[in-house]
This record gives sequence, C-alpha cells and structure tokens, in this order.
Amino acid sequence: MQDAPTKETLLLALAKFLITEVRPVVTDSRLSFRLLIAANLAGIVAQECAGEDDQNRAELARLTALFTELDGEMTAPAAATLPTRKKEARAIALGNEKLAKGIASGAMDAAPGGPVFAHVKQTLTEKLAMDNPRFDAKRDLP
Amino acid sequence: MTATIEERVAAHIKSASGADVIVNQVKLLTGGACQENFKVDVTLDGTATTFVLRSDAPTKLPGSIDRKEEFGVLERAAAAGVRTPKARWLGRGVVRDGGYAYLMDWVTGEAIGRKVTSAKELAGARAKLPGELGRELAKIHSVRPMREPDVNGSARALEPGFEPAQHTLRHMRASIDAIHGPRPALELIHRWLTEHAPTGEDVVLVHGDFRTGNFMVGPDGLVAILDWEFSHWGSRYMDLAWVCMRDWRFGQLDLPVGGFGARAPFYGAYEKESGVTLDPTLLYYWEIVGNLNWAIGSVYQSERYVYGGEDEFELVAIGRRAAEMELEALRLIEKGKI
Repeated sequence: MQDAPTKETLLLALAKFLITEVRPVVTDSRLSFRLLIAANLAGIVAQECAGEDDQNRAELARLTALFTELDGEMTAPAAATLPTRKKEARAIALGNEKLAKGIASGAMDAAPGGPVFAHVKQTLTEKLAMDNPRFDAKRDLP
Repeated sequence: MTATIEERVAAHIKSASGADVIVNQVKLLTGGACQENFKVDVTLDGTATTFVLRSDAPTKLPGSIDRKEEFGVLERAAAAGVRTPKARWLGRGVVRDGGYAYLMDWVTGEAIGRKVTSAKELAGARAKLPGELGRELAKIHSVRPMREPDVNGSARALEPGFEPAQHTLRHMRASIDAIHGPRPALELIHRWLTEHAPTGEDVVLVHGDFRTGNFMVGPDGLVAILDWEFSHWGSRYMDLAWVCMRDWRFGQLDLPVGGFGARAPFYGAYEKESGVTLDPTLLYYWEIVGNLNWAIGSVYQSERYVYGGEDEFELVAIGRRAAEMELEALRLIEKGKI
C-alpha cells in the first residue's frame, strides 16, 4: 500500500490545480471548457476511489437478493485466487448479465414498485452520486 | 486532389451557379463526427458574401444522413416555409473524394445552449421562443413522406404498417445490442417502452435533434433551425418531446421547453399552426424515448473512444453521463406523466 498522500488527495490536487492555476491563463474558450471537463473527470475518479468498495458491496448485496445463486460466486473455484475486490466485480458483472437478460426477455418483473425496478434505480442513484453529485434525482420537474 | 480547397470551392460554385467567383478564404469552423462546416468568404459577381460549406466527414454516426439526403430535406423544409438557412449548389468531391457538400447562407445569432438559456440580451427572445418554435415545428411536420422524389428514404416510410414507435424501438434495440457489457437500466427502459408502444401515429418529417443548441437565436427571437443530420420519417412527438428533456434545459430545470419556456405556449402554438390536438400520453411516452435515446447516445460516444480508436477525450467523458438520462427515464416511468 502506498504511503500518504492517498490517490483521492492526488486527484483532487490535480483538479484544483487545473481550475485555479491553469484555467485563469487560458484564453481560448474551447480549451477552457475542455479544462473544466478534465478537472471534473479527476473529481469523478477521486469520488470513485473513496466510495467504490461500499458501492460495489451494496450493489452485489442487492443482486444476490435477486439471484440467490450469486451467493456461491464469491467462493467459486474460478474466483479462488482473485482478491476480494476482483471477486466482487466478477460477481457483479455476472449478476448484471443475468439481470439484463431477465429484463429483456420479460422473465423478470421490471415494473415500478417491484424489486428489480427499485434495484436498478438505487444503482443509478449511487453511480450518479459519484459521477455528478449536483444531479438532484429526487426533484420533481415540470 | 492537388488543388487547394479555395480553388476547388471556387470551381464548384462557378460550375453550379454560373457566376463569376473569387473565393477569398475557406476556414474550418467545426469538425463534427458526421459533417464538417467551413466558413467561406467569396466575391460573387463583384459582391462580397459569406456562406457555410457543409461537407460529409470521413465517418458517420448511426442514424445520421449524408449531405445529399440533408440537402433534399432542407429543400422540402424550405418549401414548407421553415426558417432555415437557404441551401444551394449540392456537389460531390468538393472537399473530399466521394463526399457530398453544399453551401448554405451564413446566418448570425447565438446557438450555444447556456447562452441561449441565460444571456441577458436574449431575455426578450426567450419570451417569444416557445411560440416561434411551436409554429416552426408544425411547419416541419407538415412535410410528409412521398414516393417521388424519395427524399431520405421516404418511400420506405410509406409502406403499410410503418409504425414510428416500432421503428424507433428496433433502432434502439440494435444500438443496445451493440454496446459492450450488460446495461440493465437501458433494458428496463426499452422494455417499458415496448410494452407501452403507441400505434397508428402519423408519419411526418422529424428534425431528429430539435433542441436548444441546434437553433440560432437573435435578440428578436428565432433566426433559423439548424443541424438536420438526424432528420428522418417518424413521430411528431419525437421532436416535441426532445426539446423538453431534462438534459436540454441547460440547468434551467423549471423551464421545460429548452430551458427557457413553459410547455403550454409551445404546445399551443404547435396545435394552432398544425391543427392537431396533442395527446399528453404521447408527449410523455416520447420524452422517455428521448431519454433512452440520449442515454444510448452517451454510451455510444464513449465506446467510440474505448473501442473505436477515436482519440477525443470529450467523448470518453460523456459516457458517464448516461446514468443521468437513465435515471430521468426511470423518474418519468414512476411518475406516470410528464
């Protein structure tokens, strides 16, 4: 494990540098806009570094509730030598494969109010909390 | 091609118009994924004037048309009285071998989304825009498919049983299937749309990207409708809903029409001009279609970077935005109305 500063700190320092030191001296409006995007990407990755373990664990727990057979995936021989984070990613990918197929084929009930709809919505909400924290998902719109 | 672009453009305009032409400058404005725009300063029979040269790019986006088809659409739209820059002198090989290009009158105004929704000098224009856009859109939709001339595949849209929603659903299905990796949210939205698909809709000329950013605005209001590369034959509701989507409000979330207006004056002007009474269920349905389409489009942009060998970092940044459109579609599905 690396010593401090952490990867989140490094990325946020990079974003801050781009915004406070580089952007003010950039006169080209297109480049200035692209710098904002670049800083924003660094911010997204920083959020993801800080939150991805919790995010993945929560998504896998919900997927396992939908597909009980995923329970065995963490201890499956194919996953035996993998670190926990990779085991989880593998099980999530498998769960999402099943979920996408189940929804597309009509085999799973995906109507609002049901557990599939609730899971998909919750998963998107957690993704957006990192990708765009300003996105207000609860707000009703005219 | 050894001649300079100025020489080629001069030769093209001369042969197409018969006028005496001096091309003073050809300057690349924007290189899009499916077309390139150049600013062309010319002297035509002694008079200085400016055009936009629109040319096919080496690549094409799914669902987009080439400049030859676009030229045909613009001619039909202009004949229906739609405010759009006049297009003239379609030619092949002007900019690149095999690619089509044409010239378009130069119009001035503001098209950048955030400026249209917030610039102080456009406040008066914003008050008029919903009504103006409603009337323009009704004129666009007055253009109907015809067998001859077969503009932009219109003959196919006349086949019995052509259903705009089914056509769009098939197109989106193929796009989702082409995406790498499972996308449960896209599947859920597509399934809901399949289960709720309307039938018996009119088939009209659809602009295909009718939103803030794709029309030019001046202090007095709407100047011109631009960016016709996604035009096709389909449902009027696709355009009516697209301009109202959350993502095209440019942060002005309480102003559903393009981030500058309320729905009622927009729909009212459309109904008055077209004589069609709009169906709220269809406006709702197609706003969900719009969100799914743009979610798929966002994923596709980043796939062009990841798998398509395109080295443009704005493309990869857009990929993560898909979740915004996915969640907005879910919000609408849960709400049950717009």
